[in-house]
Order: sequence, then structure tokens, then C-alpha cells
Amino acid sequence: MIFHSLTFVAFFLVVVTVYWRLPHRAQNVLLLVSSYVFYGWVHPWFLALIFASTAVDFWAGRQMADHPSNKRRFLGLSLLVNLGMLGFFKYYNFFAVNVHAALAAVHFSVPLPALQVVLPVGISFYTFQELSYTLEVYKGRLDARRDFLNFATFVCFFPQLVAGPIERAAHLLPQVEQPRTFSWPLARDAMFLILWGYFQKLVVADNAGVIANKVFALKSPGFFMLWAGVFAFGIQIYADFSAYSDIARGVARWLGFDLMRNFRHPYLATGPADFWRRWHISLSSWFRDYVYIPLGGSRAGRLLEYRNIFATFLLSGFWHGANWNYVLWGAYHGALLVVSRAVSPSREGTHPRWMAALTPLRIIGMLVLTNIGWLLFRETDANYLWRELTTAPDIHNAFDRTAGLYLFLFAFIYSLPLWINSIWECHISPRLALRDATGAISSRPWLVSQTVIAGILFALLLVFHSQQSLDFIYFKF
Amino acid sequence: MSSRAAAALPFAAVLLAIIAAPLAWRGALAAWGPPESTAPPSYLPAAEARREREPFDAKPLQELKTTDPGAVIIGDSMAGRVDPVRLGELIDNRPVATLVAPATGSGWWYLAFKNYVVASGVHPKWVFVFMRDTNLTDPMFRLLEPYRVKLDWVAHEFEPELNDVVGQRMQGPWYRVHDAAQRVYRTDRVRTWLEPQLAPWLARVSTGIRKRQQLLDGLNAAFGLEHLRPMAQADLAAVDDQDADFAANINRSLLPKWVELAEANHLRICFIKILRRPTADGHPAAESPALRQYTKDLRAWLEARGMVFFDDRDNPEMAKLPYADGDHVDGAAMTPYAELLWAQMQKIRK
Repeated sequence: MIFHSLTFVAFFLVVVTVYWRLPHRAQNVLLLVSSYVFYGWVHPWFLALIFASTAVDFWAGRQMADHPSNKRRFLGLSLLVNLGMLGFFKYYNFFAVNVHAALAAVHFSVPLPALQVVLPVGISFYTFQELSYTLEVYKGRLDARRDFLNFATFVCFFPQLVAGPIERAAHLLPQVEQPRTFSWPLARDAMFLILWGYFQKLVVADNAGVIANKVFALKSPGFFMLWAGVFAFGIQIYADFSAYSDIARGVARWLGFDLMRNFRHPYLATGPADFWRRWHISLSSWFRDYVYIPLGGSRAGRLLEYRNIFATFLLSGFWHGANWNYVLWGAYHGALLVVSRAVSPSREGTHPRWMAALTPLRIIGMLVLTNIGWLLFRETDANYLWRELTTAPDIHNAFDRTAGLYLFLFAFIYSLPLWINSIWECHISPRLALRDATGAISSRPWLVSQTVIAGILFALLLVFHSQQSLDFIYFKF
Repeated sequence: MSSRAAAALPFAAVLLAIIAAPLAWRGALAAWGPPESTAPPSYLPAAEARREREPFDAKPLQELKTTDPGAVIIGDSMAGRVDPVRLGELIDNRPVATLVAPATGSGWWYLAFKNYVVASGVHPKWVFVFMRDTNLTDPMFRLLEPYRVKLDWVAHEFEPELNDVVGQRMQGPWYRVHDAAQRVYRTDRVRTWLEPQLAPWLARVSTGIRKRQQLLDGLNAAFGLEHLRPMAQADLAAVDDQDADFAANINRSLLPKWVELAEANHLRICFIKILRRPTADGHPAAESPALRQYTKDLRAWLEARGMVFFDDRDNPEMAKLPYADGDHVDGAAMTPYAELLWAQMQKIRK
């Protein structure tokens, strides 16, 4: 089931209406059943996978608690099952093609059959979420759970099951276990969040996506058209993914849950490190805690720190998809971060004051670097990628120049609400917002302005939503 | 008032304000929008707003009543492969009526059947419907611009069955909710008012008013089929495969209504899937596995409901007939085609 369908809206209204009439335990049963309905809507066989992986991790957690001397073995089993499943469904074909090509290069042919199955949606997300549980239990930072219902609900909680945020067990599991209370002010804030999510998806991402898809379908776009298309893709992927996260957070809030924030205006980042503190926060913090730090982090000297950063980003790139372009994208960001660490070792807040004047330039510079990365991310064909990276601007090609400007302006117009939202959230909203005891914002000026904005967004959504509805990009990861 | 209800009031007020906000579009339309069309509402409200339409063409209805044909042929130019005179001779020397219009799709064919054949009250021995590939279960094929005018000729003021399937195709299973929202907020009118202004305005900003049209024409050419990557063209084939999913499309097509109508009026229909043009080296046109499966499913579905299905591939002699341009057979093949078709019908009846 997809968020941007009326089927989901109807499903959610039914679930939420029944949910708040039930006692806590029954709420969790309903959450589990509805999450399985949500997940198995198109391909019911996906349920067998998620159930098997849930059962293994639940069992492994209990065994680690019951047999501490053998806990390494049970962690190994959890890693093997989760990463094995992920590897098989997501990376097998990539592996088979590359092994075949490598052997063919030395005149040795081994036919490896291709896997003809659909990649289970969200497998990368729930696998990592479950791993956060077994890793935390292994480290002794979290108690192993003894209630399968609660654990299974934590794994398949439908608002964030398919495309995150990847929640940590320590944050989400206690929320599953504790009784939850309904609050109208929180429901109101959640409604704003959901509406903003739908607007980002249907108006910004899908309209920008049409431009990007058109440009990337061309055999040989000119320099300016190509980069306008890359810019449109940058808008699309951010609005699309941020939309999913916002809808997920809003829907979860209606059910009494608090999910972590996944994006903090990433296109206002002033450097690579800042970007990764703002982009897909749940994944980057996962890699930081479970890959970068265990590798040694920055504790073992400068060179090892660089190696650790680079290795973490390579893995992060590979997590996104079974293709070399994603690895290249990860390597590119790893390299950016290493270079930025090397040339500017001072940490945030320790920059001299005059640097603040350069902030707009640094934001623009980082936006350009991010867009170069999006080209690597979007272009899955190595031949086209090489051609695009080596396309130079032709100042005599007036059509390419004006067409590029036209496409850029088109994407920019659709992205305007994102920039306005960033200014609103960073500079205006905090001054108006006062929170009450439940965490909901209670001040009248904020409420009035937020309602007006929501009304405008809804009116614009009805008219300017893209005629061509595209899938959420991160579904395929 | 209970404290719970009181707590819900501010929420309800915010929700109402948000839901009411798009009503401002109605005010904007009244103040600055183009004048309201005086055209009658479309018979396809799921696809379009009010529009001046061509009148219903009642002539074929009269002709059917007058000639009382032994057979009726319905279809697009693919139906031109059968010689109606020869077919009439074979059907007890009775006339054969042709309800054929080039560049039409299953929407037109269905309306021609309903509004002419059924409405006339005639009882031909056979109604032959000619189609290509998956046309029969694709109501969107040649339905909207630039084919709308032809549909006007065969459509009455209301065509609820056609509108239903078009709504499902265009807006999914919840299209009635979309329709209701459009009626309340008039968003379709706002869209047709504002959207066409955005592209020319941005073109003017990009290149100045004089070269604006030149830029827009250039963009259309730059994104033409010949400039697309081979993979993008392969994607079009994938779309075809989606169309060939019979189970997914049958209930979103006019075919169930069509068969119901035929049964209720005791009319026998033979659906004929024509053979596409041969390959350059003279071999019969190839079919994708998806299309083969589709044909098998379509045949089983029709035969289970007492209809007749004939695939030109069923008779290898059909593949030997000469072709002219595209998928059209040569004029010399029309008579043999009528004879082969009739022979096939005799076999089926036995």
C-alpha cells in the first residue's frame, strides 16, 4: 500500500478510529495486523520474509540474554540471517553479473542464473532496524525482549516500515511497550505534517521528477539541459524522501508514537559533514554507530579516521542499491568528507567569526557538490555517466542554454515551497511556537499562521499535483 | 459539552479551515478566470469539463433499421480487411453493415454497438468486432484528444458505463471521490486556466517574448522519440506488457458491459484479433509471451460467456495474405479474407 493513495487514507482512518477504542495490548495486536495488511497488500509473500526475520531476531535476542557466554554466536546468527536475506534478494543478481563478467574477462565462463523475483520493498530498512536491536542487546545497552507481539510490532510498524526513518530499538520499542495517550493538539500538528508531506510528494517531487525523467531519457543532452535535469532530480529525491518521512511521522503521531526526524534542511548545509547531519539522519547515524565507530572512528589517528570515513560511505552507497553508481556515489561523498576534514579540521562552532559572512557561498558550494553526487546517483549506466561527466558547456549552443534555463526555472518554481519552508522553520516558526506539556505547539499566532499555510498548501495541492504519479524513490532501496 | 468534545473543537476548526481553503479557487475563477463555458457538460466528466461537442450521428441508426443486415462489422481501419459484399453473399445473401471509423478504439466500438446495433433493434446473425493486440480491454486507446470528435458522433448525452471505466483508468478505484472534489472546488477548471500559462511564462523569462514559441517548439523536438535512449524505448514495451495483463484490466474495461449487453439482446458477437503486418523477411509478426498469455486469457473469458473469439493466427492461411501499408491488408486480400473468416465461423459453429 502506498501513502499517496486514497486506499491508504481509508485504511488509516479505519485503523486510527478502532485503535483509540482499544486497550493497550489490543492496540498492539491491531498495529501488528494492520502493518502486515499494509506490507502484504500487493505481494503477500513478503510477509513470510519479514516474519521469519522477526522470529530469528527475537529468538537471538533472548538467547543472548539467557546464554551470555554464547552471545557472540547468536549475534552472528542474526547478522547472517538479516544480511544474508538482504544480500540474496538485493545483491545476488549484481554479484552474479559481476562475477560472470570478471570470469569472462579471463576467458572463463560460468553461467550463474539470474534471480527472477521482486525485491521485497523496505527490506533494507527493516533489516537495519532489527539489527539495531540485536547489536544493542549484544552490547548490553538494551534488555532482550520477552514479548513477541511487542517485538514484532516494533519491526513492522507500518508508518515507517517501507522507507524509514530507521528507528533504533531503544527509541521505538519502549513506545510500543508503554500505554499511549491521544492528544488533539498533537493530532493537529500531525495533520500539518502529513499535509506538508503530501504536498512535497505530489506537487514538488512528482513535478520535478517529470523534468528529471525526461532529461535522463535523452541520449545526449547538452550541458545546460543535463544539469537542469540533475537539479530537478536533486529536488525530486529530497522532496520525495522527506515527504515519506513527514507522512510517516505524522501518521505515527496520530497513533501516539514519536518517530525521529530524518531531514533538517539538507540543502542549507555548509559542508559535507553538515550535509550528513541533515540528510537521511536515521541511516547516517546508524552507519556512524554500527560501522564507523566500531571501525575505530576518529580515535586511532588521522589516516585511520579517513579510512573509516571512506569505508563507511562506500557501504552506505552500496546499501542504496546493487549497482556500481551507488558505490561511486558513496565513494564520492566519502572523499568529500575526507577532504573537508583534511583542509578544515576545526569542528563546528570553532570557525572564526568572519566565516559566517561566507555562509551563503558555502551553502551554494555544497549544493553544487551535492548535485554532482546526484548525477552519480541517478545515472545507472556507466557509458552515459562518463559521457555526462565529460560534457563541456557549449556557449555557442543557444538552444541548450535557454532550454537548460527554462528547465531549471521549472524545477526551481516547484521547489520554491521547500526553500520557503526552510526559512519558515529555521527563522520564523521557532519565534512563534510555544509548546504545551504534551509537546504540541499552543501559541495562537503560530496556530493561525500554520492553519493559513496548510489551507494554501491544500488548495495548491488540489490544482498543481502532478498528473503523473511516481513511486517513492526510496521504495527500491 | 464533555471535556473530550471541547478538546476536539480547535482541531475541528483547523480541519474545517483547511478543507474550506480551496473554495477560494471558485472566487478566483469568478473574479479573474476565463468566462464559464456555455457548452453542455461532457458525457465523460471523468476525463474533461464542459466542451462544445459534435452532435450524435443518427444516420447509421436509420440505415441499420432500413437494411436489417445479416452481419454488422465494427472496428477501426483493421476492419477494412474484410470484403462486406462477399461476406454478405456467404451469409444467405443478406447485406452486411459496416460501423467502421479509422483511428478509433474500444470506447467508440462499444458505443457504436450500444447506440446503433442494440438501439436499432436489428438481429444480425453475427456482429464482428475487429481489434489489434490488447485494444479490447484498453478503453483509453484513442479515446481522448485528438480522437474525441469521432467519439462524439456515437455518444449520447450521458454514457455512464464508459465514464465509469475512464474514471477508474484515470484516477484509480477512488475516482468518484476525485470527481466529487473536482465538483466542489472546481479544480479542473482552475488547472485548465492556470497550467497553460506557466510554460509560456517561463519560456518568456528564459528567452524573451519573441523567441518564446521557438523555445517551446525546440523543446518538443528535443524530447522527440528519436532523441531518447534505447532503454527509454524499451520502457514503452514494458508499458505494453502491463496492458497485456488480462486479469488486471478486464474489470477496468468495457468488455464485461459489452458482453452483458449482447446477452441481454440475444446478439452474437465474434471478436477478431487481427494479425499484424509480417516482418521484413516475410515471417508472420512475432508476439511477446505476455501478449500470447493475454490472448489465451481473453479467449477463455469470452468463450466462457458464450461469445466467439477468433485470432487470425488460428488459421495459417491468413498469414499468407498480402499486406499493403502498416497492418492493413492489400485490397486483393479482402475477398479471400472474408471467405477464410466465414470458413472459420462454420468450423466454430460445428
